[in-house]
Amino acid sequence: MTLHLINKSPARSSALNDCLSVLEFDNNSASAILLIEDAVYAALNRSSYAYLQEKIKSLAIPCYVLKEDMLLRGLHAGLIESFSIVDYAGFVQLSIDYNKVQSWS
Amino acid sequence: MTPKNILVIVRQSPYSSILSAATLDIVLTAAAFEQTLTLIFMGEGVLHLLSSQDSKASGLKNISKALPSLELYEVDQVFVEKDALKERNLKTENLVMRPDTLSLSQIAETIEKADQVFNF
Amino acid sequence: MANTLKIKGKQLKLDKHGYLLELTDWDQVVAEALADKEGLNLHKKHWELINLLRNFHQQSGLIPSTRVLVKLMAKELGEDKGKSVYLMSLFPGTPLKTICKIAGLPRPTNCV
Repeated sequence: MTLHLINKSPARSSALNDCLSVLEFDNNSASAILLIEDAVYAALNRSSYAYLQEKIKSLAIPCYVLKEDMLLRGLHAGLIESFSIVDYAGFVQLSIDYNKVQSWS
Repeated sequence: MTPKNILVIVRQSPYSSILSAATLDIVLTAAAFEQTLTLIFMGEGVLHLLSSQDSKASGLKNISKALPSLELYEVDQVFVEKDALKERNLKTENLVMRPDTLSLSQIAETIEKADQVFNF
Repeated sequence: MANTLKIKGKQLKLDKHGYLLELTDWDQVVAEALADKEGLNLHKKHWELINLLRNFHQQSGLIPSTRVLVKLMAKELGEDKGKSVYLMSLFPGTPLKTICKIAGLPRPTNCV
């Protein structure tokens, strides 16, 4: 039961892709992903990220996006795929709810 | 000193490093020295132009606020890569300013014509 | 002892050049006190420029150069006011440095 924390954009890092590859082979499906900093761009509704977003959907695990980092970058609901949005307080709550937090960057 | 054709290409997203702030400094300084300046946002760089960026909660500097003022600095050659907008599902209405769009072949041409290119 | 401005029973911190350290300390009374230190009495025309500069800074996050400020004045206040002599007449000496100080903005660091 791990919260996977990604902080780099898929445009510059394989972090999200690598994390998803591992999760495909994770039999303990109670994990979740939280996109922070530049990783929030992964939620952009763009064709070259479609395969990542499909992969997340097919894994059927919760994927959260940090609200403050979205707002900083001018992203809003109209521009992003349907991910759950959490704020800093939600981030803290998630890190309590999950046994451990694993950072990928 | 004859003014040079200076081209600045922004290819990175706005908050991944301090590069954005440094780029803005280069642009404003070159403009102050009356150089002919062209600024192109391409690839991930187009994300600089997204409107409603809100830096309050983060304490970081919101560079996008400065972009509509570039005209006052006589930086009026500001372009954005057409395909990069399209691929990200963005329209010029989503941007803080309305730059003209360029195709990749037009960008190649602009690079050829420039005396000096800064590519970040 | 740090540089301070005593006003309304408060001690506002200034940098070594006399600029407000906390931009949020600024208000009209503070501006008048800062102007007084520069030997200036603020009139309507001064306020017009101070407000223009503050709005520009708030919107863009930038401190303009003198040339850009004059262009801004021409654009927003009309061509007759968009002249460096007009700026000089209201804020003599080094106008940009003086107006930034009174407007509670950071010290301009560019030389142009």
